[in-house]
Amino acid sequence: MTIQIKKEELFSFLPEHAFSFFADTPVVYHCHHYNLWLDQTIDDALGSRESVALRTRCAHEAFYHYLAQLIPRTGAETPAEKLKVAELIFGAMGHGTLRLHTQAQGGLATGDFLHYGFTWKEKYGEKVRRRHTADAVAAGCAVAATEIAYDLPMGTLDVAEETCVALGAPQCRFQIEGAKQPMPPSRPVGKKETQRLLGDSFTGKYEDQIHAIATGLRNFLGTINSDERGLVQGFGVFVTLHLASYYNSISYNALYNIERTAPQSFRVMEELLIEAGHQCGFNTFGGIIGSPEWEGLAGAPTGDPLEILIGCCAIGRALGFGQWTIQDYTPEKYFVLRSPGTYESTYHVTRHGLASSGRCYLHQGGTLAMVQLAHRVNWRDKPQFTPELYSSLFRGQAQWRTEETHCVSKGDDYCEIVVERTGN
Amino acid sequence: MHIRRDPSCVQFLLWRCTPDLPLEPEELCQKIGQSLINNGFVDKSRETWLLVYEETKQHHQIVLVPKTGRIQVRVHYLIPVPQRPLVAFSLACQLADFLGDTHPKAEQLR
Amino acid sequence: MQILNLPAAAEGVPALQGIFVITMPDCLLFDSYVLPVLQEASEELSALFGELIRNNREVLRLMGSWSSELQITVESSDRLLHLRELREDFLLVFAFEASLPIGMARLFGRRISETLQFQLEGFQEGSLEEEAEESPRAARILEFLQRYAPDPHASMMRLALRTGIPMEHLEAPASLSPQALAKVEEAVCDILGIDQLNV
Repeated sequence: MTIQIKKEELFSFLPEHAFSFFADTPVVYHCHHYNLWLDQTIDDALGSRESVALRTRCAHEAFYHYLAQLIPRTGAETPAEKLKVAELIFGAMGHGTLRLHTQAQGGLATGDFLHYGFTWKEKYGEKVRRRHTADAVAAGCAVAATEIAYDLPMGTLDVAEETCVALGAPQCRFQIEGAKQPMPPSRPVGKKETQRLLGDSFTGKYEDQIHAIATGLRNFLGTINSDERGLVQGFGVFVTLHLASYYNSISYNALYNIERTAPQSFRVMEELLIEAGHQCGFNTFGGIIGSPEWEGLAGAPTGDPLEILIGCCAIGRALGFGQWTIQDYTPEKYFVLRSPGTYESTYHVTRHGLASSGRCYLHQGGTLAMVQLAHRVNWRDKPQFTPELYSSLFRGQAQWRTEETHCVSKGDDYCEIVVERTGN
Repeated sequence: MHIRRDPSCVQFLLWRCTPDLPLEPEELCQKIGQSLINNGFVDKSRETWLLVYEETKQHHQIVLVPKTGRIQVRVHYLIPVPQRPLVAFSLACQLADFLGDTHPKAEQLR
Repeated sequence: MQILNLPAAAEGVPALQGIFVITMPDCLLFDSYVLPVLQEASEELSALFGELIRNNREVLRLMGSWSSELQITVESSDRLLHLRELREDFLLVFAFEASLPIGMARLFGRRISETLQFQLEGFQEGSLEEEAEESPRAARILEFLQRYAPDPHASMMRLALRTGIPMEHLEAPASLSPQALAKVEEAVCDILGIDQLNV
């Protein structure tokens, strides 16, 4: 049997809600800044040992549900073919090169240029020494793929990353073996579950412009392929097509763990999750708007703040974050971004029920980043998106306050972020 | 020809080249594109509004925007960080040669 | 102008040609006690010594090595220079004759710096005597973190999450209990990936 991964057939898009699915699994594009920051926040919350365990378990679960949907649609029949599909799809998503040498009882997997370890080394390797492994996502994929390939229930096997490039090893190696503890069963949060929650969509101001750019950008993203190492470089950042469930499950599991064990730290954890979104928005959105791709597609940025906000809204949609719409904008003062649902809130309601306050942290940080990009970056000078520029946002009197006034997670009909200027 | 770092949050990978020659954007891109092909670069463009040429040995890329005449040099990420500015500069030298432009002046190599 | 009693500190130290006391990070000469041959270039030397220590610190940072109070020894044919940081805000430079063994230069350097430490206490930035009495170590640990953490704007939030200590308590480091300080120290080591803090 020939393996066939037909991207066009496996990929689906809900245009009114700007959600993307691959094999009926919610997927989003995220850059290495966001990925590394979010993992680091979980490390900060739980300590590295528990964090690695949680992140590996969440990746295991997310990839198990995903591959269970995907592999039967590729024609793969034998375990070897199924493992091959997992390797190919992992690389095609920009996560690096994973090689699975596993049997039903487990075995070895190796990784080269894995997104997390490789980009951690590129970004932080010269600044700090890492003391724990970085590739929980690859580990989770490796163990999930082995279970799917050999028709095993989720949680039959367990995995540990034994060597990691972020710790100085030449290659990442994963040992997979029989699980000592059972994994609690879980149900996927897929396309059906997401659709069930979605209400009517709506539009906002400047809709025609946003829609046109988002469509062009999404079409262009569809043409980007990973290189022979399984990495995707675009717009000056390393990009991954990632499982939304992974982001959501590590974030909310760690957050609710903190609520139970150290409630005084709940707010600071929320702040750091928002900061992850801010890093994402600033670096990825900024990188996209400053790129030749954007210049060819939408023209070089003129420096008009509204133009940047419209562009960022289109980017949010194209990356699969949700139907971001502009509801209100007063230059230098006030900005309202509304969406009929985000990949965070739909997951939260499905898995954790209703919350007492908003739970769209990427959405909050991303909206703040949009406002910063519009008002604090001098686009005419063709800025560098350096750590120094980023740090400068946090200096000076003029700052912005962000509030999630409405959220599907707390029973509202939509998610809404209001950003207001504070100080002079 | 002038070369300076281009917006990127990965260290020293992207570089902007601005020729001194007063060429129209489309003419500039056509001239560079043809020269790159003649010198062994591979055309990897997927869109007419973004031309991408790749060098076959180390996979560095030259990206051109016909609408605006923007030229971006993309050094491959496998090149160690300290060597990236030099690689970018040598690619800019090649571009200057193709165009018959002045030798590159670095505005912000580090 | 003599601000400190450097002659007293230098008393009995053989082969010593001079002491420079330099404020950091601005690399300005604070006080000196040197042979006339070195006197003339004192201001210029101070700036260069400051740069030297700064560059070495950057090298160490890039190599993943850490030291709170850095020491450098420079050998030339006619002179032996020993540089050592004193707190965050001072650099001491000792010039010895080249004949002095390096170990002795380090030993004398340490002894003199211990003497000067007392004299310099009155010159802490903004006369922070209160802070010094309360918890200088906690404050220095936090300064160290903010100086070297990769994303300094978020380092205090990360520390708060790692330790479970609320931000408002971290912002008043003098109020931290010994147990809280131990947690902070461990968390800073984790964030920076180092085994211990020599602060």
